[in-house]
Amino acid sequence: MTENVVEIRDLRVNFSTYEGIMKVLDGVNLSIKKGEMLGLVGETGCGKTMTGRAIMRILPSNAQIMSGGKILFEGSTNLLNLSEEEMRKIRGKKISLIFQEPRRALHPTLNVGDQIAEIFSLHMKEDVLKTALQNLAESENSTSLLSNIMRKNYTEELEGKEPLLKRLLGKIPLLRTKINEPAEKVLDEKSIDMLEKVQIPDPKRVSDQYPHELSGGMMQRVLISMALACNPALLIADEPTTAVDVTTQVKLLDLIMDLKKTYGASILLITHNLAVVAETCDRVSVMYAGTIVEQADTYSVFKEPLHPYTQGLLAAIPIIGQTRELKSIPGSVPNFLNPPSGCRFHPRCGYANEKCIEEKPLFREVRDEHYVACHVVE
Amino acid sequence: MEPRIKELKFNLYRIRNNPLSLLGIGLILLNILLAIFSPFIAEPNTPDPYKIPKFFSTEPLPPNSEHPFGTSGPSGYYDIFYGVVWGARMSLRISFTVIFAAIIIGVFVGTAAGMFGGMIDEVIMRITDVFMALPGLVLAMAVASVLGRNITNLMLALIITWWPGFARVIRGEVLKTKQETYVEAARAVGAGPLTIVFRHILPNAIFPIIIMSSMNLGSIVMAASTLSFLGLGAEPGTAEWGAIISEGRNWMLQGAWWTTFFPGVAIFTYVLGWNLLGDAFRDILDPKLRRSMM
Repeated sequence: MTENVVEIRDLRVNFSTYEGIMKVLDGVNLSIKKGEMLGLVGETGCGKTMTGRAIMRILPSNAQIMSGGKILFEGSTNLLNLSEEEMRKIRGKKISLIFQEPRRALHPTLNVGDQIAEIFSLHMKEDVLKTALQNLAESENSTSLLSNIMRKNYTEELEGKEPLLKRLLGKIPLLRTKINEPAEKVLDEKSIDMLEKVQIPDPKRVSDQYPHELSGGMMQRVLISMALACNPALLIADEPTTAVDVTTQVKLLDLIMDLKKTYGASILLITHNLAVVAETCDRVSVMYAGTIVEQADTYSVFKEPLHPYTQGLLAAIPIIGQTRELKSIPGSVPNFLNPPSGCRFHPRCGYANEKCIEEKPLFREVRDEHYVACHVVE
Repeated sequence: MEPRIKELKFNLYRIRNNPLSLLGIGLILLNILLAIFSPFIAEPNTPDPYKIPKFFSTEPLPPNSEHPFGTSGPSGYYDIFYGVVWGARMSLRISFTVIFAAIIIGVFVGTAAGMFGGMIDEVIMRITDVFMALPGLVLAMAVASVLGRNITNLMLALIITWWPGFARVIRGEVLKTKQETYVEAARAVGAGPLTIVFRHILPNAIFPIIIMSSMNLGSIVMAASTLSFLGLGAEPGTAEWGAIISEGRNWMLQGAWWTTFFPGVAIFTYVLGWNLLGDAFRDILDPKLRRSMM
C-alpha cells in the first residue's frame, strides 16, 4: 500500500462572522497518496478552497481551526500543532499552492524573475550560496580582491553568521549590487530555468517582464513554476484552470500532468469541473457543505457513484448527443449559519429517512477503497 | 534597459508638453538654486546666517541699488533681499524636515495599525482622530506656543500636525493591499511577516504618499509662514518669509509695499511650484492618466 502524503482526519473550521458562527468545514476526511492526483469536487461555496487553505494554514483571520482534527503530513507531522515559524518552512517548500486567479496572485510591481527568485532565497539559500561559491571558484579572476571578499561573505553566510563586510559594504549603493552579483546571477539562472520547465517561450525575456505584460495562461504558468520551485511533496492546485480559456486549460492540465510525472509530487486538484477530474485524476473526493461525502478512485466514482449527492451531480452533466432530460438536484446549498441537522444533505436527498435527520453519518469504507458518508448506502 | 530609456523619453515628453509642469519645475529649481548659492548671493556676516544682519536706520528704505528689495524693521533695520534669499534655504529645510519626519512617523504608525488590526488599530486611529479633530493650524499654534518661539519648535509643531494624515492614508492602503491575493501568495510560499510588509505591502501602498508629500511641501511652508506671521514661529529678524512679512505689516499702511510684497511673492512661488510639480508627478506616475492624453 502506498503511503499517504497528507491525511486529514475530522478537520473542522469555524468562521466567526457578524451573524454568528459558520461551520464551514464540518469534519473533513481526506487522504492523498504519494504521487497521485486527487480531485476535490463540489459546488461553489462547499469548502473546497478552505480545505486547501487549511492544509497550508493560511485561512482568513476570522477563521478558527477547531481542536480534535488532524492534518498528518508525510505520516507523522501534524500540521495543526506546528508553530507559525515551522509552518513557514513548509509553505512553499514542501506544500505549495497554485491560486485561482493568476492575475491577482502575482505581485504587480516586481518582475517575474524576482518573484520566482524570492522563493529560492527563502527556502534554498544554502544551495544558492554554494552554487555562487562554486561559480566564483571557477571564474577567471577568482583571485581578485572582490571575489575574495565575496567568497568570504558567502562562506560566512553559509555558516549562519551575518558577515560584517557585507553589512558594511551593503550600505553603499553601487557596491551593494556588485557584492551580491554572484548570488543574484544564480537566482536569475534558477528562475529562468524554472520558467523553461513550464514551457514558457523565451524565458529570459519573460523573467524581466512584469505580470501585467503577460497573458492569463502565461501568468498561470509562472504561478505553477513558482509552486514547483522547491520540488514540493504536495501541490494544491486551487481551480488552476478557471481563469483561462478552454484551449489554455487543456495545455495547463497537460503541463501539470507532465510535471507530476517528472517531479513525482502529489497533487490536490480543487475544481468543480467533473470532466477535468475524469480526465486527469487518480482518485476523487466529493465534497458537500463542508464534509466529504464520497472518496474513491475516479473509475468507480463515475461508474458506480454511491452517495446520492454524487449520483445527482453526475446526472446533472449534459452529454452531447444524448437527448435525455437533464436532472438537477432540488434545493440549494444549505446555510452554514444553521446547517441541517444530521446529514447535511438530507433536505435535498430523495432517499432520506429519520436516521438521516437525527444522526450525522460516519465516513466509512463501503466497498474496497471506496468511502462514503451516508446511512442509506449499504 | 531599452524600454526604460523609452519610458524616460516618454516622461520627458509628457513634461515638456505641459507648460504648467515646466513652470512648476522652473520655480522649484530656482528656489533650490537660491538655497544652494545663498552664501554667495547674499553674504552672511554673522555667525548664524539665518539671522539677518542689521544696520542703523530710522525707517524702511525703498528698493535701491544697495538693497534691491528694500529694507524693513522695526526690530533693527535689515535687508529684505538677504531675508528672501536665505528664506529659500530656510523654507526647503523646514518643509523637507517636516515632511520626512511626518512620513516616517505616519508610515510606521499607519502600517502598524493596518497590519496588526484589532485593538492596536483602534487605539492608533482614535489617537489620530484626536489630532485631526482640531484644525491643523490651531493645533500647530497651540503646540508652538507651549514649546516656545524658535525654528526647531516650529518644525516640531508642524510634524505633530502633519503625521496623522499620512498615517491614515497609509493605513487605508495597507488594509487594501493586505487583502490582495499576491500578499496571500507570498504567505503561501513561506515568506515571513517582515518580508511581506516591506517587500509586498509597502511598495504597493506607498504611491499616494509620494503625491501627497509633494503637494504638502508647499502647504507646510504656508503653515510655517502663518505661524511666524502670528508670532509663534521664527523670531523676528530671522530669514523666514513669514517672519519678514510679520515685521513689514507695521509699515504696509504707510506705503512701504516692499516690506510685504517680496517675501509674499517668495511664498507664493514656492507653494505654486510644489503644487504644479505634484501635478507633474501624478502625470508621470499614474498609469491611468499618463497614456490618456497622448
